[in-house]
Amino acid sequence: MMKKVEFVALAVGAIAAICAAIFLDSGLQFLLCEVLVLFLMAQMWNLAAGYAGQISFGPQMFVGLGGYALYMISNNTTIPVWVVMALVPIVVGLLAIPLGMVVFHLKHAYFAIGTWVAAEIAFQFVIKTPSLGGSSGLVLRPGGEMVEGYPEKTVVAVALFASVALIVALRMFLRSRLGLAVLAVRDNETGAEATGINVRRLHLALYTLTGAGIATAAALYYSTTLFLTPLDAFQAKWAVELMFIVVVGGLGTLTGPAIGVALFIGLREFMTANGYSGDQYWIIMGVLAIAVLLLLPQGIWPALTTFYTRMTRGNTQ
Amino acid sequence: MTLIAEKASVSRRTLLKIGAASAATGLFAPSIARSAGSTIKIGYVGSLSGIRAAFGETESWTLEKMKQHLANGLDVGGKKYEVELVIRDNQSDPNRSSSIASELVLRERCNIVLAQDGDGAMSIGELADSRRVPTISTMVPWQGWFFPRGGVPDKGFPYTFHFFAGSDTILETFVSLMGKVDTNKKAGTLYLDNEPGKAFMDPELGLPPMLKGAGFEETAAGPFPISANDFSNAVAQFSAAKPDILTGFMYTNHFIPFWNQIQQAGLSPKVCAMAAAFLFPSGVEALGKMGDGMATEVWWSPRFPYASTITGQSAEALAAEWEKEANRQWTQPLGYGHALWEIGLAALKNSNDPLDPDAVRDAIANLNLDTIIGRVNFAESPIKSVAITGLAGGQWRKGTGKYPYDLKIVSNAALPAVPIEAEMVPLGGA
Repeated sequence: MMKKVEFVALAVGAIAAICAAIFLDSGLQFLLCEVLVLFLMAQMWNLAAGYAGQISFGPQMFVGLGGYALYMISNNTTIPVWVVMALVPIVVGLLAIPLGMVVFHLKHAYFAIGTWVAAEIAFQFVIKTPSLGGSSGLVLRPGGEMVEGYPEKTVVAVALFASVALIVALRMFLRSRLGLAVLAVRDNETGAEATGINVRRLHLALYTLTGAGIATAAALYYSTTLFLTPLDAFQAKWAVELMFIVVVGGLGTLTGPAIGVALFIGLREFMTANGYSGDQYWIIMGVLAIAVLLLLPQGIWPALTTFYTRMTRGNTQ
Repeated sequence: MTLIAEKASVSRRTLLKIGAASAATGLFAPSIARSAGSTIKIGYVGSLSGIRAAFGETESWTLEKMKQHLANGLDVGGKKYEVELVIRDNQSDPNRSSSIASELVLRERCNIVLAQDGDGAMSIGELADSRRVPTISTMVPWQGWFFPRGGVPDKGFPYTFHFFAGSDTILETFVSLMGKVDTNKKAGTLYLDNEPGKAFMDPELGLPPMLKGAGFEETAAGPFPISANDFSNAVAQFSAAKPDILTGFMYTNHFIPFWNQIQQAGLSPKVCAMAAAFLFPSGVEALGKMGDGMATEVWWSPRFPYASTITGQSAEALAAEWEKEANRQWTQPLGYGHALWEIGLAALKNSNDPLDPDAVRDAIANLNLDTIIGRVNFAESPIKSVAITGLAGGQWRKGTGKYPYDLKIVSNAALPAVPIEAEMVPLGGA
């Protein structure tokens, strides 16, 4: 059931989305698109890793599949880009099911590496397939025509609303029967299975859903860049970024990824504006990740909530 | 060097910050004193670090020179414009290239963008075309820029332009190099399995038909992956066929083990013309004594009989200035990096209104300029949006001066204006 506060949040999100599309300038919209898309992806990775325990090194496979599904369908048919965008999660979701059946034969570290290998296979396949553009990539030409207008206006509105809606949906999901089952599996997989939860099917469902979600976010992103290369889309950097955002922000919390994204992009913008090089930015990121993991192993958000509880209620725990 | 270039870039945010700070302290701040209406913003993207850093080695220096040149602004049609440079290093990373593309086009809203890197140019192309930002790029054979972007020769692109030699010219030059030495007319080929490598081995447009046409017998060892460090299959094939010529496409880190295996097998080829492996002096120096006689394509050299439209310097003088100030041997991108600015600034000047994207676009399209790398002719090009430039063939010879090896022009088949400096000799010297 939707709570009142969630309904209000959705309404506010919708209004903010429309305002962002109308009032912001296109540079800011593009930056916001990047932030929101990363947030959506991070939230998906968080759902799989933090709630279902599927630590995957291969989310870049879904980034790539989402991007390529969007470009290939848009360029070779007359279906409008926005309809294609809605088809992307279905197409990628269907691809994720057989793939999930294979990778779930692996557990823990093997699973993580298995997903990475799967992403690498997809990457090699794209590079070796001339009809997919090979290693030189693709440009977005819906129905063969150059993109006119301002895609980031629509994308920023959709991504902003989707981000709010996703949090509301996840909150509702975690209260539902299925959500409780997910939490039970996270806490004790064998125990959950003993109480009658079909763990395998649950894992597969989450894998498919989060994969489709990442692909949709990627499709949103690549509809603003107008250019896609396999080296970019299937790059392991996506996995590193999502992991950083989720782990530093707070794994298994809904607010953590928001903090992670704010930190990740905020620091990048601050450092490039002040003339530091990309290499220096990654060094700071690495140091920050190590510091957070050593000092606040739960992540920033859980640490903040613990601190807040202690401050307000005294040291009850 | 990267650091300097990054620090040198002045973004809008930094400007605001400097502006606010100086306003607060009551200092004179030229950056906020100028009105938005008379500032030209020039965006730049290049590979200043990362795997293609060798291609950007001279760039920080060139950028520094341009900054000095533009410090007092630019005169266009009798009006003085301030110039703001937005310089970005894409770290040879495609992902970074896309975010820089959006930054230069959407956030900074540059009046013109100069791209000294293939990836940078590809990433910004579609966005620049759809948002009307005139863009000029170079440093990759024009076919590799034009066709993957879906270009049609008689239409071109609305706002993006490219100047460089074609891969066909590189191949012709290679074939002419092979003919300059007495051989058994047998050529052993092998190629790296990437885009340019594939263009080289293309059975219809690549090297194979050209070799055949020129009367060479090819022993093809085929493509190899980028991670390869063992070439025994290729070497075994060559041991059987005993070609006097070795050619193809590979990087220096492939060539060294390959060459060692060739030597172990007791082969002594007379000509070795390998694309990409010997573009830079560092690649030849890595071979030690064996570098003498390696042949390569030459897009630009100080011996090119051309001069800069910006400084009036001859190619010789530009290279000498770099060698003196950087204390390193000249490299080919020095000329192209300089020419990129020549073309960009000439287009801005010819446009009459550098803030109007259509005026700048038309100015580039109508440009026919004699730059430090030679003539860059967009106006009369058979391929719209592309200016095809010339290319010579060169051979690395034991240095007579300061550096271990000097690159000598030995073939000018595709660029007759460039004087031949030396006769092509068999490997190992004459």
